[in-house]
Amino acid sequence: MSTKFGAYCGKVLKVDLTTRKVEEYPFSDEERELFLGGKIMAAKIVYDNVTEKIDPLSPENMLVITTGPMNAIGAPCSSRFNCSTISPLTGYYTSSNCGGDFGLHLKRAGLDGLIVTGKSDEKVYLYVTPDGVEFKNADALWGLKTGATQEAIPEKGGKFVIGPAGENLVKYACVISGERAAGRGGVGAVFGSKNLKGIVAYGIKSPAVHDRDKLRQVNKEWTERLKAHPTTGNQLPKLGTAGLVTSMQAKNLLSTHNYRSGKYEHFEDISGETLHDEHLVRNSGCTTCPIRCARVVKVDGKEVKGPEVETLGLFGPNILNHDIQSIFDWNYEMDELGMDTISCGNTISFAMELNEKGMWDNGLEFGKIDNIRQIIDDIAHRRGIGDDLAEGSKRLSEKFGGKEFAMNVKGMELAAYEPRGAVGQGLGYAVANRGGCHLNGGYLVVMEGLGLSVNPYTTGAKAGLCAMFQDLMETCSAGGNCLFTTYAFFPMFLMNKPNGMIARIVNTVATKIGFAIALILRVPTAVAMHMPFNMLPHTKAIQAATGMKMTFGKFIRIGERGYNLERMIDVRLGVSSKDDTLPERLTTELQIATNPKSKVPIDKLKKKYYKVRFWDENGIPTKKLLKRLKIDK
Amino acid sequence: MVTVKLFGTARLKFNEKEVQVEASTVKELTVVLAERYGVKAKDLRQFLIFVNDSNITALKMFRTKLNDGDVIMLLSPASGG
Ligand code: SF4
Repeated sequence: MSTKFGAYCGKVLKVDLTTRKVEEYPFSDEERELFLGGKIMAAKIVYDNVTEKIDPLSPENMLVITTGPMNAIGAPCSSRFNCSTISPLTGYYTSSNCGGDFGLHLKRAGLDGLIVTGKSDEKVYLYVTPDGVEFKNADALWGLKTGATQEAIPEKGGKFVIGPAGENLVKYACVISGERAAGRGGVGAVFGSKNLKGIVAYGIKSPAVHDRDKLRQVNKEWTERLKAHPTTGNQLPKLGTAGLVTSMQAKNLLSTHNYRSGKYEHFEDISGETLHDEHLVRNSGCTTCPIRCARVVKVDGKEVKGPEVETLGLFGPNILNHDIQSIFDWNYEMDELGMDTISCGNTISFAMELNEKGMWDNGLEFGKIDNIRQIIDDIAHRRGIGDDLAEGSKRLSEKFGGKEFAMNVKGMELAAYEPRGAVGQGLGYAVANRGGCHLNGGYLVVMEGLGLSVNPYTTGAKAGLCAMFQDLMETCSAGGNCLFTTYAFFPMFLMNKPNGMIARIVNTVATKIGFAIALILRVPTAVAMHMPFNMLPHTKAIQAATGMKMTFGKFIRIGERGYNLERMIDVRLGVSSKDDTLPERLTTELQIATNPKSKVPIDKLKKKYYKVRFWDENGIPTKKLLKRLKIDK
Repeated sequence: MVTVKLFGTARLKFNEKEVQVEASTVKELTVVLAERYGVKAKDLRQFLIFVNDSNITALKMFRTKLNDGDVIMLLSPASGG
């Protein structure tokens, strides 16, 4: 199969591990225009193939690894690729994004996507080149950590591998490429369940683009803009995501003591500033990235990837730990074992509270860190209490109780943003398709405190803003760019001058008109709507690269289609309004005793959200909507 | 005397963690700090400023009064991650 569009390879392969059959999977140009690539393309493939509830760890489940048109064509922050599946953690659809170089190689090997189904009868890894797919025996790799596995694989190219956690079916096992992780939702366990240790892709030829000169110019301007923007050109390169710790503290957003508070007295010890002043070796980043938000720190004298803000929060304040070096050590170990640091940290803090309340005698205590390193290893190998912890907080709460303080949504553990300090983020967590994910939930915390200062307690506009940012990020990700490139959406004058008159007007106006904007964007003619280049360079880049006409309105519409498609997969698997909720602690207990607004009014927010999404009161997309979005005929 | 704690890009720019100064309003504080760091006061007004855990946008902006013992945080104007 080929394609009339630039920047695509025009080919998706399907590999059946049971039969070792490799065949081309049809994906038409009409579908490319509707679903773009990445996570939305993967959602389309899963939607067409997973038609009923399945056991995520059975051979029936599929891994859909996809790239987007922006990968491997010189766009900034464009090594991000996607891995989707039915999550063993939630039982619903999950898509996990990764910044390693595997995606670039996959595309240069001539593939827009790779689907893996079935189960191999021996341990294998796959070697993908322009010549096809080879099955390689992985007996000698089984049991190795992710770093050692990548070193031991003799073939050159981009590698995407699991560690012991994936082999042992830890429900939140991840897959690692280089040092970057496809972290969330237990994708690594699905690899393990298929006896698949990893995939190596190798290729050297990028696909042709539609208008090379135009694309070069757009990419250049885009890179310059990222470098000039205060968030992507200053804050993130200098302090990484760790730089958020102080802002979160200031705004009651730093999950502390298993989400009993949004502030931690020792926050400075685990802050991005301390990391910078006392531990930073240098910054680094995903291939193709001019921002370079990643940190390099030392563990046992070795230079390794440092933790992101979520890991600092969940293994710091959330378990009452202020030893930053311990978090570096554990973060590195979890990457090596192949485990999502967010779910792991959150599950451990839940277990600590269970122990504290006498509900599970497990030896884990807030503030006690000498046994954490061992527990992490026990989880990956499912030894002792590690076997229970490997199941995640939802299953733990089913076994030991404590559902009201088990900090997950649909089984996926929340990130380190305490949503009672930003109720729009609370809504996002509750409705996100893959469960308690800050990004899939629209990441409104950026508007409600970390970037702008929109009142974090108002509800009026949050549903509309949440839907709009979910759709925006959906398409950005599907294109193959890092979500941090969407900071361009917030003009520099707003971010540079938070005390200025314009910022204050925007902060006020946003609380009034967010709902209306979201509705306007859903009008069919809105697809013709444009944005100034510097607010969303993605549209121009996609147009120059592919030849597809790409307006802001169309960009948002593709995201809306993707979001609803994912929702429909979840609906098929049993999701409804009952699942779009938060643990009781966040909806009934005040975060600040003197502030009656410091809890998440989830029912009110959800009602508005369903309205702006055109879902019925049970959270199901209407037939009319699915037809409008061309999801169903 | 009030305590000013510098975080984020403010810390990196002025290479200081914490400083004690005399100032009776936030505006005056920015003038004092501007002198100390050899910049213009308006440059300092572009950081996020918190007085005892409250953003000055929720108080009286630069007219916010300061009292002995107050803790002021200067934070990066834009974070995100
Ligand atoms: S901004 Fe950070 S996460 Fe995004 S592509 Fe760059 S290094 Fe990777």
